Amino acid sequence: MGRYLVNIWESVSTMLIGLGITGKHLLRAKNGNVTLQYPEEKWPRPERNIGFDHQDYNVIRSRLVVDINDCTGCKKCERACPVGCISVEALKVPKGTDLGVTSNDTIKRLLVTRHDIDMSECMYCNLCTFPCPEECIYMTGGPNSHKTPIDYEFSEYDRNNLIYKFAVATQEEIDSYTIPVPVTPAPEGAKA
Amino acid sequence: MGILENKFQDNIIVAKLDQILSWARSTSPWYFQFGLACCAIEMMATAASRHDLERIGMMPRSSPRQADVMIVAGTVTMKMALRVKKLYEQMADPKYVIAMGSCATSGGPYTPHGYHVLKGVDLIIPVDVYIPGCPPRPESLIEGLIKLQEKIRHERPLTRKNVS
Repeated sequence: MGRYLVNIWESVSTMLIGLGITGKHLLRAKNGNVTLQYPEEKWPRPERNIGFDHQDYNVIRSRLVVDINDCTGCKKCERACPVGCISVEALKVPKGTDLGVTSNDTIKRLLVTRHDIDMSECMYCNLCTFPCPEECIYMTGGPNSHKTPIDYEFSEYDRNNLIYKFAVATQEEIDSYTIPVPVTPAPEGAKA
Repeated sequence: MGILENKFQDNIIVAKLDQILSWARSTSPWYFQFGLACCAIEMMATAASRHDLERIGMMPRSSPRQADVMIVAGTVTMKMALRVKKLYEQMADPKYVIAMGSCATSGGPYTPHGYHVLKGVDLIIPVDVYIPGCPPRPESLIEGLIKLQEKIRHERPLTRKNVS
């Protein structure tokens, strides 16, 4: 009989202990809540410490951006890319043409006609940002957040929209710098 | 809603069956766990308590029969491509596909020299949303899923499409 009553008391008391823990969690649900309500709130940067200053290193591997006004068309980023997702085309302009200077006071000598970055192929290794002599290609956020705010959510319905075209040279501009080659008909029997 | 609008009390919503269907579909797209590589870790992290995916009504299912959305997370090798196709065909309509990460979108790091990797999962199955990143952050994945929900919400499953 005693054992029977002890069993009843144990079942009731342990149930109350469990309910108490649930109630405690309910009361401090606002403080102990770890869930990030994503579209409303975001993490500005990861909270973990990676060992050196966050201002010097972009922890979040985000979108690549080119300041095309600073780009000299040296193609160093294209060569550095291990994936080959950057494609740069530059046009040689006639001597004496003023294309302006970059923010590092380097005189631009090539007209960048194409600077495409396929972000769907990019593997966010940051290798293209180091060789750039003008520091015009960089990842958004981190130490560059004063230039471009962080942007790592850019999913698309179409794969082609992930190819970012940065070149701003218009077709008329390209045509004006291209020296028109007089078309002469190839002589008969000549090899092309 | 034409003539029926504002004819009832405030707590009665009048909508077309079309809209209700697409709304219901958009708010509970259960996804098929299809982790193939490192993106799967991020997908697991997204489903965990920090970025709770069930907030937006998404629940992981392990069977293609029970799933609406297939999240292709990771590198699709040529050998796996056959299975991807088969599993996609086993899913019940309406079905949606999300290409998560660079590898599933376009081959990613394997694009120049990957002899064994499918260059984009959209070569074998239709993809609705492409999420860039290598791997994408959980926030990026949730943003892509919200984009997919928007796409489903604008669908009209009962409206006959004009076939010209």
